[in-house]
Amino acid sequence: MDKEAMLKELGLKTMFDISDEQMPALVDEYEVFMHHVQVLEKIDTTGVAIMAYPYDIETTYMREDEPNDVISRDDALKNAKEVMQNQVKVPKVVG
Amino acid sequence: METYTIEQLAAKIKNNEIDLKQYYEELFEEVAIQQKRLNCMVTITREEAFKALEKESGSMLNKIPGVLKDNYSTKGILTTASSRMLEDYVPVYSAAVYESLEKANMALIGKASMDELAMGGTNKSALTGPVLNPWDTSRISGGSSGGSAACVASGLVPFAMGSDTGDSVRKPAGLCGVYGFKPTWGRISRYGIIPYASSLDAVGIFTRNVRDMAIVTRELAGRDNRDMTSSFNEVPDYLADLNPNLAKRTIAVLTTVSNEVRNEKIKANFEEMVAKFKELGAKVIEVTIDQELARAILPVYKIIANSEATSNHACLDGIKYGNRQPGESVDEIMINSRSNGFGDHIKRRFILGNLALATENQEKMFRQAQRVRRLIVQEMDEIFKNADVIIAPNSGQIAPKVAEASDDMLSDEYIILENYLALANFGGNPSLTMPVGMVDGMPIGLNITGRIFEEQTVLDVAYALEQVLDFKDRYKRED
Amino acid sequence: MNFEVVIGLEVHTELKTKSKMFSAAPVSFGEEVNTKVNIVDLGMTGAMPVLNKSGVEYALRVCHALNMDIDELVVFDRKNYYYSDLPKGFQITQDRRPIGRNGALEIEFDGQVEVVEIERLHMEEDTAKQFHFDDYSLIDYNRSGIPLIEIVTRPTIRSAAGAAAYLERLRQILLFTDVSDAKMEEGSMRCDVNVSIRPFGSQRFGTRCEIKNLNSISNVQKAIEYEVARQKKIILSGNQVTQNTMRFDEDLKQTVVMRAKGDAVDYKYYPEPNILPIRLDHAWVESIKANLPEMPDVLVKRYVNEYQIPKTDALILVQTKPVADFFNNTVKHTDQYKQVANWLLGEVAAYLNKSKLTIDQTRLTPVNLAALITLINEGTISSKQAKEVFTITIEEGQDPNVIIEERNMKQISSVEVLSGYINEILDGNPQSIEDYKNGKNRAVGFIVGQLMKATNGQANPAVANKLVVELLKARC
Repeated sequence: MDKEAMLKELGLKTMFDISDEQMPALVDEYEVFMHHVQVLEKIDTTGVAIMAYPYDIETTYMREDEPNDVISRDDALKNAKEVMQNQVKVPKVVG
Repeated sequence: METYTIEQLAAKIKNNEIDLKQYYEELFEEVAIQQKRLNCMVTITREEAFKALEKESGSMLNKIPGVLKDNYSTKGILTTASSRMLEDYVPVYSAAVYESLEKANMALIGKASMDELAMGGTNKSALTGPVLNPWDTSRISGGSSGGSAACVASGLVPFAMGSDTGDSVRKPAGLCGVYGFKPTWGRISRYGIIPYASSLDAVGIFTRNVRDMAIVTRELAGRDNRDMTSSFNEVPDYLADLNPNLAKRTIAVLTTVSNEVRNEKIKANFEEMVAKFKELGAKVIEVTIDQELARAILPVYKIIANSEATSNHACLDGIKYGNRQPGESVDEIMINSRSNGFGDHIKRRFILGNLALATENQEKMFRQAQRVRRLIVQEMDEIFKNADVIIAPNSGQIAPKVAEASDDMLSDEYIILENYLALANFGGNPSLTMPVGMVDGMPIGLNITGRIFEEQTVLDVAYALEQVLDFKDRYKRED
Repeated sequence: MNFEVVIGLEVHTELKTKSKMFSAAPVSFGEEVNTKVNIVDLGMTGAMPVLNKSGVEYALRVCHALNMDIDELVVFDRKNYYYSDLPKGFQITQDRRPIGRNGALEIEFDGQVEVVEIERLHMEEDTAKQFHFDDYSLIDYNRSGIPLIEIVTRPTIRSAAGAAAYLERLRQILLFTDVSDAKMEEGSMRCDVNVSIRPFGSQRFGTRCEIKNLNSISNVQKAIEYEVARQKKIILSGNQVTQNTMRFDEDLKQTVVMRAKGDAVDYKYYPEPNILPIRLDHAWVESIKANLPEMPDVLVKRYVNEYQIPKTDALILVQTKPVADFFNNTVKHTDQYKQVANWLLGEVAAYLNKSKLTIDQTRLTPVNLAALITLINEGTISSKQAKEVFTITIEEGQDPNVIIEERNMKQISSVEVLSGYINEILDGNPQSIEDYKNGKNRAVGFIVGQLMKATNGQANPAVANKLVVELLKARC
């Protein structure tokens, strides 16, 4: 698959419709991005664990099971653009 | 309008030496003027501010004016993160930081402009347009917390809140000649802040001096059970404990960064600062980090930040809130809403973030970046074995002209110098940028980064330097 | 060609904690739409997850019940995909480090005992519920964030019947650990099935198909049977099975393709950055194990070995936890184990069936059932009276001793008292004595009937019969 088709597809998987006008800039940024990837590929990380948080720390806190945080239905739906019967309305979902 | 520090205004309020109604009337007149000049605000919250005048608290921040970056959720107040996607979004809850400030009875002046979703370093990508630098309105404020920086640098407010994922508080602070501080990851709750990249994001504060910085940090730091990453570590009294004595301090000059500076004036200024630290009695050592790793800072940052961002913002789909565009199916609604709601550069970053997270790429892209992140942090930890703080110039340049400023700078000079501040995000370290000079009429900054949870050390070092310089409490305001 | 069937099952179960997995909104079923939600469940930007301790505890109970290795460092990952029922755009789950690994569950079917190997158990959260109409769908977020555990077997199940037996057993475990309602029809327990077939003796797995969203154990069995037949047909006709995701069409009684493998979503799992690794307190983990109720298989063994209850009856007693609990509590008050079982499987079961109640919804208590059985065995009441007392105690909750006292239902077994009654009746019915002399045994029945009338039915029938015969003989 060529680069543009791949990026178009990846765009759709990220819920974007990338137009033909937007494509050149995306290809450029992709090239820069792949350059970044190459820089990292050259670094030997054998035996190095990933770092998912800024420092290694374990905690013990868990919330007690108390149902004490609920918002009103008005608040829940306040920012929704389409509401019907107190629910968010969307086109029919299939599958 | 008079311009005060937090301490000055708090003293006047306490001693009943100020007519606050009149002060705030004048302040909002000035806000309107500076808004016109700098375009620093998304929302001005006059009503909120005057409400605070009717209430009291025992906090130093009682009735002190402040500003929040527009990615802090504020219940009942528009919160856009400067994105079309959230153009009309009014949160039903408030960020922990805003709750703390409300409890302290701070007077909220407004919500400040930012790069869209905090993803940028110029503040040019804001939905409401670029924010201009108070010192020269042909130049940028820097980003992503550019609006907050401009509010403090123009003297409108003594403090403003920002957020810092790579340098988004410290960079604009340096370019605008104010103090920008990013405490340790976990020191201040992130609850309710529209995120960028959660493993890098930190609350950041702008002030015009160290003492005010200590006050605001103290007010906000501490455990919040709604943010599982927030720390249980005790919070010192940063203000009372401020100690400018550097006799026992070791300061590491990060030459891997400082050697990259090409601007002679900035170079000279930095050498001057190093000399001042020596005069103050600190032990100064020179340190480096591996060149290959230094050149990997930007790649690591880009890959991790974009990947986490694309996931963090998957909630912005037009279904429950935010921009919704019509479509025949749910997928179409999501695609149309997101395509319409985000700026082009945001879309590109989300797409590339997804590329790096894709299962087939994740090992060599996202997880490789996470591994290199560890190697880089290990370099920092090595340095911190022998030094209390690391210093380097905040930037190799003064604020760029609006037309010239860009996020995409890949030259050798820039790749390390303009991106190294992300080191403190990789390791979660407290990191402060302070004004240390003027070059061509524009402020320049110095960055001081410390060990995790050693905010006090960073503030102490900055406090010592501040006292031998003449750059605290500076602001620039024109009509 | 003979084929071996290879089946692996993935079961999702909603936990009945009080609050959600990562938010403190209440867990509810069947409540008003969008009234049990908060900012976390709605995926409001800036919201952050906070882990529910009970969610972890419930997961640990099931891990222990399945004899799993427990990872005491709890870490979460994000599973990323865009879907209208997924408000955050990702689900928080455990991909790389499930809390439980390497479990086993013994199943019994067709008279054979097999062990199903369980690969993993992990914690995650439920999605919002969508209601579909002709040309639109409506979203209710009440379900969003309800704790889920997913239990995944290794592909060690070899038949549809085995799969059904596993699900029955697993359901029992979920009920006995008291973590879930585990109702497949209502969606609190859901099952996805992976099925493939291969020639006997082959070491390689065949291409598998996944059947999703099955809503009853019998449908699981039917779907597997259909799918196995379908795959056999394909292979025997010289073709290859394609890896698809299927659903089971209840009307057609067939598996139907939902999507092909190529359309599979890439979930892009990565560590959840907003939840630091959580180190569980080892003592707490162990205490959960120690406090675990006895599991059904252990109970059955105990019932058979200690109480001499037939295995078939024991198996029925442990079908639901409330009944098993009731039995366990009743035998604390009586040693007539078998009678307790008979009552529970007989009168009690019939009553529950008729009233559509579960045993804990009635007013029957273990103490009262034990008392009732004691009264029968002591001869204080007849079995006919016992049924009457039972109806009263299960409906009104009264102590059987009080019931019979208040209603004068105590049986009269005293020879002295009964003799008095009988002699009086015989005195008034000389004809009966004549009849008895002439060999007419019905005279006995007549006198007993008169006795019952005279005593309001309280005469102990056994004693009465014997006594009437004795006294008649005496007068002959």
